[in-house]
Amino acid sequence: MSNKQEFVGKDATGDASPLGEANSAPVPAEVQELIGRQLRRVYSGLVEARIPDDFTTLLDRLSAASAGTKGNTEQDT
Amino acid sequence: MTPSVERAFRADLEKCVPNLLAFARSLSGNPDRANDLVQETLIRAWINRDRFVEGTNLKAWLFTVLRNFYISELRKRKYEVADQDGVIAASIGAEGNQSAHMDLVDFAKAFQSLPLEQREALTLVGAEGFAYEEAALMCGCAVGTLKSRVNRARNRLAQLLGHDVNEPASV
Repeated sequence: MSNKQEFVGKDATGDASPLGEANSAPVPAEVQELIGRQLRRVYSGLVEARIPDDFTTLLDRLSAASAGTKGNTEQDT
Repeated sequence: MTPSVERAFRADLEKCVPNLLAFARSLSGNPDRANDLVQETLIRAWINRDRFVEGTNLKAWLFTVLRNFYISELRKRKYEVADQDGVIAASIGAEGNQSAHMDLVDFAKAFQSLPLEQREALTLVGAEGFAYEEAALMCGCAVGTLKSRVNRARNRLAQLLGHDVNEPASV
């Protein structure tokens, strides 16, 4: 997998029409600030949520598998 | 990669997991799906670790992998799992102030009702702090398109949350 090859291209929803991206009226600054604060508050709740142990286990397995592969390769050579 | 570089890469991957999980949850609105997305992202990142250019933004690279995998899965499955159970709203911790807590719950519900491309644009720029240029690259769209999505997302949120979005007319 190449990261660049993984790019799906234009648009997440298939809507690539520039006409469909017309600008809407700007949101007043104080409303933007409020939305920004609430967004960061909600998102930080997601970031700080408990992380399942599965991910550490997965990374351990991936590291061990690659160490094993390298060990085998070194033994072969 | 040398063993020491590989160890450092693994540690950096692990540091990114909380943000990857948050991004996956904000995209999918489904905790199980988010876990699967992060697992797949970590596997892909590990397999392709030699392609990662040291000194570049690992988090942006991982977010792109996750996002593209999610989009390709959506296209295959032709459906999107919505936040039917209010997962994001439910993740909001207790606030001292009940009114402030309800404001955040309302915000989370409004956010989850946004179209996917607006949610991801607003998350990347407004919550993760990526530059518009970085976020546009990650979403595979023009910078102007991304700015427009962020603006429309803010507009929609403002409307849903009952804010007056009409600026005073200039004379």
